[in-house]
Amino acid sequence: MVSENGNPIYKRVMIIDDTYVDRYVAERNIIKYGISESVISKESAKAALEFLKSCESDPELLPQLIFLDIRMPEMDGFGFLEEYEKLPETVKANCVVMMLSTSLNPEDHEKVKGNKYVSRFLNKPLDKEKIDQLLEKSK
Amino acid sequence: MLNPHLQNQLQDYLGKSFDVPDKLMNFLKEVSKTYDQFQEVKVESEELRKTNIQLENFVYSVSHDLRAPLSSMKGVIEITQEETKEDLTREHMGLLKGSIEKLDHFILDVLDYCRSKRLEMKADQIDFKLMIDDIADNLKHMNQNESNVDIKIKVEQENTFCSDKVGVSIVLNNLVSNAIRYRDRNSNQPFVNIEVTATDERANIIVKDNGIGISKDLQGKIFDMFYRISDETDGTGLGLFLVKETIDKLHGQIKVESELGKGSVFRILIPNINNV
Repeated sequence: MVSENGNPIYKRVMIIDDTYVDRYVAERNIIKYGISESVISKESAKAALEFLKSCESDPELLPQLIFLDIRMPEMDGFGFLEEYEKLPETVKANCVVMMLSTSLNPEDHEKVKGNKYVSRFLNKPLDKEKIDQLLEKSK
Repeated sequence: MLNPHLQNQLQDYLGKSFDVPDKLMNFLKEVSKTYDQFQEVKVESEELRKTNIQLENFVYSVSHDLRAPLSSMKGVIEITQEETKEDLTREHMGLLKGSIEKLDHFILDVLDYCRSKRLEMKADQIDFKLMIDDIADNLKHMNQNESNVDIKIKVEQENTFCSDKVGVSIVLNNLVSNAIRYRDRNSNQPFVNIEVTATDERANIIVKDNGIGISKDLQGKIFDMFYRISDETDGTGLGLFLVKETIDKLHGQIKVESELGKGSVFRILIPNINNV
C-alpha cells in the first residue's frame, strides 16, 4: 500500500522515541506502507534537535514529517517542541509534527492543541490502520 | 489566650492595654478558638487539594506506563500477523493480541474508575454533538474494522448545557462501547442510536442498540462491580458499575430496558447545572 501514484508520500520522515521497540515498529511500517522513502530514527529529543540543526545548510536532508513521543527521559516531547520553535524558519518550513503517544491525560492533548507545528495526536502503535488514516488525509 | 492576629486587632481598636469584661473576654476566646480551627482547616484543605492533583497525575502516569509496553507489543504482533506465512503463527498472534486488548481495556476501566472517584463536579460547558462525535470516532479506531456497527447520532441542543465533562464522557463512552462490544454478531445491520435532547433543565439521553440484550432476571445486577453476564466477551465487569457511580455523582438517573436477543435501551437524565 502506497500513495496513489505508487511512490512514498515523503522523502524523509523522522521518528523521535526513546523506546527501541516503538521506533522499530514505526520505522518498519513507515517504509512498508509508503509513508516515506527513508526514516531518520532518533532515540532522544536532544539528538533529534542536533540533527535538525546540522541540516540547516543542507535542507535536502531535513524531514518533512516528525513523529514525536511525549514521555522521554531528560527532554520530553513538549521540551522538544519548545526548542523546535527556536530553530530557524528554513528548518521548519516544510515540516509537520505529529504526536505519537499512549497518553490519555487530557492535559497532554490540551498542551499541543494550540501548537502551530503539531498537526495531530496519534495513539501508539503506528500501525497500518493509523497510516491508512494519514494517507486518507493527505490525498 | 487570644489568637495573636485577634489580639493585635483589638489593641489597634482599644489601645495598648485594653480592658474588657470577663464575659466579653470569654466570648472573644471562643471566637479566637474558632478562628484558629478555621485556619487549620484551610491549610488542610489546601493540602488535600494538592494531594488530589498529585493523585490524578499519578493515576495518569501509572496508566500510561502500564499501557506503553502493551502498545509496543501490539505493534510487533501486528507486523508479525501481516508478514508471517504460517497460519498457526497468525492465529497465535491473534490470541496474543486479544489478551493484550483485554488487559488494555481493564487498565482503561481502572483509569476511568479513579477519575470518577475523585470527580469534583465541575460546571463545564458541554457540546453534546462534539463530544459524541469524538467518542464515536475513537471507538471506530479502537474496534478497527472488526465491527460493522452503524453509529447514528442525533443531538438537539440549543442552549448552554453544563455538567462535568469528564463524568458525562465516561458515561457515554461506556454505553456506546458496550453497544458495540455486545452487538449481535449474527445480525446484518447492527446499530447503536444515540439521541440527546438538551434543555435548560436537563439532558435526556437515549442509547439504543439491537445487540444481544440482557435477560430480565439479570438486569438488576448489571450495575454491580465486577458483575459480568457472559464469559464470551472480554468485559471487565467495571463498565456499567462506573456508569452508575458517575451518574449518581452527576445527580442523574439511568434506566435500562432490554430483551434477550433483541437489544437494549439505556435512558439517562443528567441535570443542567448552568445557572445553578
